[in-house]
Amino acid sequence: MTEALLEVDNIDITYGGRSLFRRRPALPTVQGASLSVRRSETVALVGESGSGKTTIARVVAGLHRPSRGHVRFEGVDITNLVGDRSRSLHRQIQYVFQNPDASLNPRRRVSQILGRPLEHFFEMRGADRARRVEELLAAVHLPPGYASRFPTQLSGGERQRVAIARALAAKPKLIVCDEVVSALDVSVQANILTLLAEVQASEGIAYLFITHDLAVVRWIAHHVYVLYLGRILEGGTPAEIFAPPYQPYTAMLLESVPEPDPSGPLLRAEDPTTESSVPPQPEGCPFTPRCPHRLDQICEREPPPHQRLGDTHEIWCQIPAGELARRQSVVVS
Amino acid sequence: MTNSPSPVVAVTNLSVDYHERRRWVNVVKNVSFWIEPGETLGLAGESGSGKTTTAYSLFAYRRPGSRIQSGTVEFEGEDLLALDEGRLRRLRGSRISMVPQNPSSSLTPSMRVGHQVVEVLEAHGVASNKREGETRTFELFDEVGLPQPRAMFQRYPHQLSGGQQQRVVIALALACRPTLLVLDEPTTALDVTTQARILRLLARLREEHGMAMLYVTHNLGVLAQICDRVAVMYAGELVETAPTAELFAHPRHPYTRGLIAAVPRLKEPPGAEVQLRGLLRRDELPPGCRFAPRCDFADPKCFTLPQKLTPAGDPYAVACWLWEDIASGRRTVAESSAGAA
Repeated sequence: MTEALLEVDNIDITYGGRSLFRRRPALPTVQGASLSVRRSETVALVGESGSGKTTIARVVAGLHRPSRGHVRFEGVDITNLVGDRSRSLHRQIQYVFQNPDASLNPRRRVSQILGRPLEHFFEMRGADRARRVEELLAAVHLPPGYASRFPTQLSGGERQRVAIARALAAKPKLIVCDEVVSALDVSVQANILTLLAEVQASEGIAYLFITHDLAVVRWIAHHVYVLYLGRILEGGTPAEIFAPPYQPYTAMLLESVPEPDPSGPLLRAEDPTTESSVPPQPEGCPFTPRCPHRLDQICEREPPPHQRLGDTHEIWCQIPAGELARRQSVVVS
Repeated sequence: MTNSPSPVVAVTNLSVDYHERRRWVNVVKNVSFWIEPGETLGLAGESGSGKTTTAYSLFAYRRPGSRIQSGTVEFEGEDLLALDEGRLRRLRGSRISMVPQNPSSSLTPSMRVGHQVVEVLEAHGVASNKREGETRTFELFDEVGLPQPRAMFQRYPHQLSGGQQQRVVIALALACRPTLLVLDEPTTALDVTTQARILRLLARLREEHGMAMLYVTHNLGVLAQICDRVAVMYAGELVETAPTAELFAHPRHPYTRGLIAAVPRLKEPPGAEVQLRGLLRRDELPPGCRFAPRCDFADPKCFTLPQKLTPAGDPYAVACWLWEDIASGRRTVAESSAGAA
């Protein structure tokens, strides 16, 4: 039970590099990232655009090779690219993307979209396949009649359900969910999150859930990692992440959540004092230019040290956790 | 509803149809609201609720293949729907301006962002020459919190982040000091931290300039932060209006309750019992209350009895004949089974 299903071990990821158009070697997009996902568990990876969260997903998917470190699935090294992976590994790790319009072929009917993985992985044909398509539609609460529809005849939320059903068709152990609700209306988001939790309870699937919105993962994640410009800055259970002491970046994410409460902290919070357009030093803490607690000389030059605050709770910050707790007020009461 | 003596804009009985598959389909029905000087009104609803169509009517903008069936849009004493194109062109972008959802598609990709602002200033006669336009643009960039305005002036849109692009669009919208600013999902495509900063910027600009705003979004959490009043729209009709604090403290329409419950929150787990189920389906609207097929409180009468916005204890207006029974707890989810249509 404690054995990790997916383990990302201290990876660096670099895009580009020295080329005809680029003289300097590229800076790593992700630095020293480690995370693990256990069976039937939801692990959230939270960060803004440019944080490298999708890049980590691409490495898990085998679409990109890290420049350092390893990825293991059930203890086996899978750092290799997608072309070198076995069919059974393809089946066990599935993906659902942000935009169902782009990931579903508009010229295929729902029955064909769902039928393809059934044929590819299980050699299902004819009546067997049709029966399984119907089961999959039922699992995502779509009527059986939808099998004959085209994606364009569905709403955004319905299309995302089809994308989830297609991932389920492969009977995976892990589904990587990359911003699966951020393009949807809030009312539809809530439905999709409920559906994912339901599927997890019945099928025992683990999720690596990628999002920019902490509020979305508050009630579905078992473990949360906060990522900023390629570095993981905090990791812990939701209860630990949503209570002080906060890593300063986590505090900013929490204050930014627009809760349905006119007296919330969002408008009272202050913008970061200096938004320098100079990129932070590669060795230093990437959050330094926006950090209200930064120590000028140290933070921008030295990597933020690891502080373990409990069995599952860890932060990366120059300021001792006790000092952070003294300076911070409770964002979520 | 008590109307203020001189609202900036007053929409009365607006109905809009779209031409689809060789027939006219009604998308906005008898919508009336007003916005007072300096006031921010939030317009909330799901995809397909008609909120964007309503917002664009404040420009007298008609999508090709649409018609305004009835109604007036009175802006500073004139009915915009009766004005000619020339007069409208002078109003749009100067007295009334707009911030749309996707900043990258509202900026010209091949033109330096500074020049795009100068162009607007010159077109509306705010700046008489290039120099004046440039100086004014630096001021505007500074005002919307863009770092190093002079350097920003020379950038192309693709060299800016999403948040910076949206700041340029806001600078464009504010260039002529409008009295009314219409914002259509201005932060939906942005990160939460960037969204928070844009909301703080809008709150500050509103304070400094006293302009009125219409803020359109599907996320009631965003409206809670910035609006004075909120209007909730469903399937082309307004179903509830109330001052923001009251709306969130005591939502009266079942749809409003569902929309509030859907906002992801940190403090408490989502209430499964009040979650919205199903989807807005335009082709399956009953002759009565349009929300009835998705309403947990609906009884058979709801499906045949049309609802319209009526006062429901100052300062609320609600389009639900059962609201008092629901609010008092006399009517509960369990007793209605007709809703499961």
